[in-house]
Amino acid sequence: MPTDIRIQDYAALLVFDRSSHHVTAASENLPQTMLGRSINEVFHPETAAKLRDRLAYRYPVPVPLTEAEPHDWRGKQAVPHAADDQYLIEIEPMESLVEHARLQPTLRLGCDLLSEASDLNAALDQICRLYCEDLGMERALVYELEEDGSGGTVRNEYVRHSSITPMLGFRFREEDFPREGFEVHSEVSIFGCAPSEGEDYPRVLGEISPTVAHRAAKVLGCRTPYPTIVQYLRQTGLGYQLSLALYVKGRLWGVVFAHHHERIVTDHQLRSTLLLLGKQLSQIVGSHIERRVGKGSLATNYLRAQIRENIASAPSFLDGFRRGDPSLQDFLPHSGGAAIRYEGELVLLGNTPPKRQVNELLDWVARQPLGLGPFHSESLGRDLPGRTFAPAATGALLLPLTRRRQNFLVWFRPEQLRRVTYGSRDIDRPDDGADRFTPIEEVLKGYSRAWTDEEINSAVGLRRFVREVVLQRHADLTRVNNRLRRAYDEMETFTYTMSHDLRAPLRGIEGYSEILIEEYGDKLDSEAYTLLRTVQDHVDHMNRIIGDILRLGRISRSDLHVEDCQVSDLVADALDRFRQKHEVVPSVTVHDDLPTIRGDARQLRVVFHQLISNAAKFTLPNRERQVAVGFRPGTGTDEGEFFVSDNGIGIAPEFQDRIFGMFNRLVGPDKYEGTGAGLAIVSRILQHHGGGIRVESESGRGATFLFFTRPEGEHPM
Amino acid sequence: MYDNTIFLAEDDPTDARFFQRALNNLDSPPDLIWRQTGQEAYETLMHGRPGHLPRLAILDIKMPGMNGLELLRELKANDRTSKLPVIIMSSSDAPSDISRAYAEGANGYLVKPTRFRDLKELVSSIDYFWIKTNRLSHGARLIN
Repeated sequence: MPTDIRIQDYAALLVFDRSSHHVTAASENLPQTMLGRSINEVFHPETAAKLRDRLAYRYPVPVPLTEAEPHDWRGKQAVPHAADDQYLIEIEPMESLVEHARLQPTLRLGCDLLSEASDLNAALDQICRLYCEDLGMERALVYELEEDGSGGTVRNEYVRHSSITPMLGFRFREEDFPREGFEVHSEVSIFGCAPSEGEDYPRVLGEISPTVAHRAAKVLGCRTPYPTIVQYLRQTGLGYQLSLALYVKGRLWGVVFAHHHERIVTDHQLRSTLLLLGKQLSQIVGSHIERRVGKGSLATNYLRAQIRENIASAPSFLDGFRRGDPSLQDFLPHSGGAAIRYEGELVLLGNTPPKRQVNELLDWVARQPLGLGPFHSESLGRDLPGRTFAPAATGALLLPLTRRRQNFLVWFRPEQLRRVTYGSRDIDRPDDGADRFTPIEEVLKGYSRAWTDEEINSAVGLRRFVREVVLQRHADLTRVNNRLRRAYDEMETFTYTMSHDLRAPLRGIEGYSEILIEEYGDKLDSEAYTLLRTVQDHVDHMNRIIGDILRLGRISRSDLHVEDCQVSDLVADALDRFRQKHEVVPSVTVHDDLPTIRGDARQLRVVFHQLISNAAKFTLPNRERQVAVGFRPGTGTDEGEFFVSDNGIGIAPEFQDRIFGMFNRLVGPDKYEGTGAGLAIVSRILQHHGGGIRVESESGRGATFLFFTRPEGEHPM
Repeated sequence: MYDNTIFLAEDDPTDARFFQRALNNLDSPPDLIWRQTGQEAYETLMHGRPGHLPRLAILDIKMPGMNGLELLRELKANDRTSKLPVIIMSSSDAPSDISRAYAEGANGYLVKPTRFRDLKELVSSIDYFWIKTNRLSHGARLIN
């Protein structure tokens, strides 16, 4: 901690011991004979008394110095600062650009202007104008600092003197006015700087404790400035700078700079007035920022609620994101595109780099030790050196969705070119002879619009929503699905075993009734004989039912040997099989130029056999049986259906959903034989092929069964 | 030496009774040895009179303990019984059961008929092919 205090040379400093009131240190520009003197010797006793009293005040209040003083302090005032076991008396000229009497009204004017200003920009413009028109400065500007610490921009300016070059819109780099340079405002937000000719800042000689020295460097009006400030003032030909720091929520938001081309002095009273104005201005900046963020949320909240609604109500997880009304990229305005990667599937929306590049980016981010944190960049090219990205992805915001898998939500922003005037040359550039603070215009490339805290928070909120609501639901559904699948498999096994076990007693019933006929046939009359045969018929029927159940179960378990099959071949095979059981084979008209049907030939033969048998069976008397096999092409993406049609008894519309169920017969077995499982088996086979079957029919007007297969389209059931 | 015997491994007494009855229907029916479990069947076949084996073994698949296919495997693995013709007769018509039986070395697979009339015909056919006709390979007479 330096005990070496330096001050600006327009002022002088005396350091007193708190208890003895003797001078322990004095600045070089004062006679060193003052060291050791009592305060009453250095100042008039009344002045000394006032000074001592004012040490107790919370904020420094100056005491004017009169001709009655022992020393020649004409035109000056003494500003006391309490400091631990010592105290500081700063002596400065008591003059100002405006007379003290006008300071209060100017302050009131300033407050009114700020209250009435329509927005922040208007408020800042008014302040700059006030500095110049009412306080006599020759130029005032507002310098707003970049949030990422990369420098700042002159966003408001008022110039009153022609010799001063305007700087409105200039961008400065961090090196020009580094953060340390603003430390001078950390305790007292107003600071006046009058650079001297040489580099001389008078030292304070004597005994000063380190704490007092530290305090002096923070609170004295004449504390010394940061070197680049002086460099800047010299290079731009300015004689005086008054800086007022604006702190919003504890963070340095910006500074109001006021300049004079001549070297002037401002006194404590003027600076205190400006300090008060600065506090009010800080408040206004703060509330403006809040309002701007709040308004943003209001506008996009509706959009975001809609997007959440879409996601939650969509049948499949990724479908919700695919919707465009509004789209995921609208969730963060000014995003050109967005993407979501889930379980290996990547969905791109809007303007994004190609899939391969997005996957590479996500893979890279997945490897970084980020956990679930968001990764954002306004310049991927800068943050990921060595990789090039499509212009659509100049900036990106990436959020991992799950801890383990490589699942992400991503937003992209395009490049936003900005033409910027820098108020200084880049110090890394080779020296081209120009002064450092010479303006230069540059085009800022490779940057997108910045991601604000509000946007990042909203994205994290959406991610939370997705994780909690959707992924959870997905996991629940998967669990339920697995349980259902297991239950289904168990039921299939049960059915299979049970069907087999039922056949054994059936053999018994049938066998013993046959043995009865064999052994006691001569004792049975025709009635008894018929009864026994009836018993056997029923056993046969039951066996057929069991056979159908078993066959149905086998279909779902079967592997498909998928190939392109000729419909005419399948029909021919079906008729051969029909021929084995029946004398008369229906004549089936097979249309020409049918496409091939894709599936397992053995199972498809069953389909055609069953449908043709039905067509042959359910005929109307007195009508010549006609059976046709053909293909009805589809429209658009629909792939079309094969059909088997007949002119038989038809099926009334109210019964049409039932016919594909197991054992659902619409007509009695005495009229048309069969167990009623045929269509259930056909339906199961087609489902197993990823397809389906339906019927078009009216009672008495025949039926057309339409079906299709898509064995590669879906997971077979 | 192959006796004029059929060996039956069947756990259901009713099925076994029907089989016997169907056999009795034949002219000069072969003898029937019936065992109810795989284990018993195994013991009998392995430790029968040396040099004596039945003409044919018919095995049901579903039996408690050692099932028909396991028994089949054992028989085909053992020198004494490896040449014994084995037919699997089961209520299952599942293609997987059928191919597994042949994979284990079965000489035939028959599905148990649901009707006694059909069982009688099946048994007659078995008798003709496996018992009576078999003698032809030993250079003996053809039986009508």
